[in-house]
Amino acid sequence: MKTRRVSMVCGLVGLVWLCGEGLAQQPAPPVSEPAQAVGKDAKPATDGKVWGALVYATDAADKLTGVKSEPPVHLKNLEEKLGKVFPWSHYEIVGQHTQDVLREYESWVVPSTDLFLKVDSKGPDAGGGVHLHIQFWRQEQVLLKTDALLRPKSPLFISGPKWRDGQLLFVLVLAEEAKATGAQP
Amino acid sequence: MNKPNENNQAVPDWMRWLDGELPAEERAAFEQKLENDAALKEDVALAQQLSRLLKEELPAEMAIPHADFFNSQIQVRLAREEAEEKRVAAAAGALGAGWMSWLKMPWLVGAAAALALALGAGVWMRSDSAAVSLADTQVMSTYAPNPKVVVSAFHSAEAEATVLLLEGLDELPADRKVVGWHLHSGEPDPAFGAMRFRGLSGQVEVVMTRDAQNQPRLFTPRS
Repeated sequence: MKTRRVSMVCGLVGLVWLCGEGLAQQPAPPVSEPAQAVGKDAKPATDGKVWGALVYATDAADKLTGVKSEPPVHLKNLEEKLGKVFPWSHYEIVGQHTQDVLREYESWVVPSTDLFLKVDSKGPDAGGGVHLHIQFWRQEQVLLKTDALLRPKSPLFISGPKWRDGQLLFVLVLAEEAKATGAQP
Repeated sequence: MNKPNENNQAVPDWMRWLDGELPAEERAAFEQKLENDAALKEDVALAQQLSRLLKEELPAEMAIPHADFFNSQIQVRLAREEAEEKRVAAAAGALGAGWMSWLKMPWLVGAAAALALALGAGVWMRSDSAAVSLADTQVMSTYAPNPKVVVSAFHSAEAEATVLLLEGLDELPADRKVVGWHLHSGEPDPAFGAMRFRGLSGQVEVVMTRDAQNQPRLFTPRS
C-alpha cells in the first residue's frame, strides 16, 4: 500500500513537472528550409488554400486608414465576429492575401510589410482541414510559433501589437481544402 | 509504512494525519506511534515533502482565464481518455484479461483525472491550447520566443472563431506607416530562391527573399 501510494505521488509530481517545466521549455519548432527549386513548368502540389488578413482595430473612426478592402464571401461578417472577441468598435482590413498551402515548400501569407505568417503544411486532416505549423512574424522577428489544425469555416484570430490608439489583428481562415486532383508530388 | 486503518480501509492513518482528518484521540495515538517508529517517520517526511512540492506547483487557488473553455477542454480530454481506455480494454479483452488487470486499479482513475487536470491546467498556465469540437480550428501548441510575451488560446463560440491572444508585445510606433496589399497568390521562384506574390491583376506585387541571417525580406518591385 505504501509503495503504491508513494509511487502515485511521485507520478503526480512527475506529471506536474512535465506540465510546468517540460512544456515550458520545449524547444522551438525547427524552421524549415527555404523553398527549393521546382521544375520549370511544374505547379507545386498544395494541401489547401488560406486567406489571411491584417486588420486594424480601433475605437476612433478618424484613425482608420481609409483602405477599402472586403473579406471573402464566406467571411462577410468578419467585423461582427471580431467585435465579439476584441473590445474595439471599428475593424478595417488593411491588407489581405489568398495563398496556396504548398505541400513541399514553405508558404507565406503577407498582407502587409509589418505582420505576416509563415505557414508549413503538416498534411490534411482525415476529418477535414489541414494541419499547419504557423509562425507569426513582425518584420524580422518571430512573435509566435504555433501548431494548429485549421478547419473550414473556422477562422483563427491572432492579436498583434497595439498601434495608433488601436491594435493590429491577424485573421487566418481555410479558404479551400486540398483537392484530390491537381498537381501531385 | 503502516497497517491499513481498521475503520477506514481506503485511507491510511498517515494520509489522514497529513490531511488533518484524524480525530484528536487518533491523532495523539498516531503521533505517539510516529515518535517511536523511525521508518514511519521517514516515510511521512517524504510524503510531506512531496505534498509540499505538489502544492507549490499546483496552487490551490488559481485564476483560470476563460473558465468555460477550460472546462470544455477537460471534458474533451476526459472523453478522449475514456475512449482510449475503452479501446485499450477491448484490445486487452482480445489478448486475455490477465496482464491488463492493473488498468482496473482504483488509483488509475484518480491518476487519469489528475493527468487530465494537470494537462488542462498546464495547457492554460503555459498558454497552450487544444480543440473544443471537431468542427473548430484547434490550436495544439504555442511558443513565443520572447519570454515577455504571454500567449493564451481559446475558442469563442459566439464568434465561431479560435483566438490566440498575445500579451506583452511591443507597441508599433504610431508614426509607422503600415502598408497593406491585396495579394491573390504566391509561388516559389526557383531561379532566385525567393517567393513571388501576385496581385489580382496577375502582376508580381511583392517578392520575398532571405537575407544572410535567413530572415525574410520583402520587396515591392513595381514601386
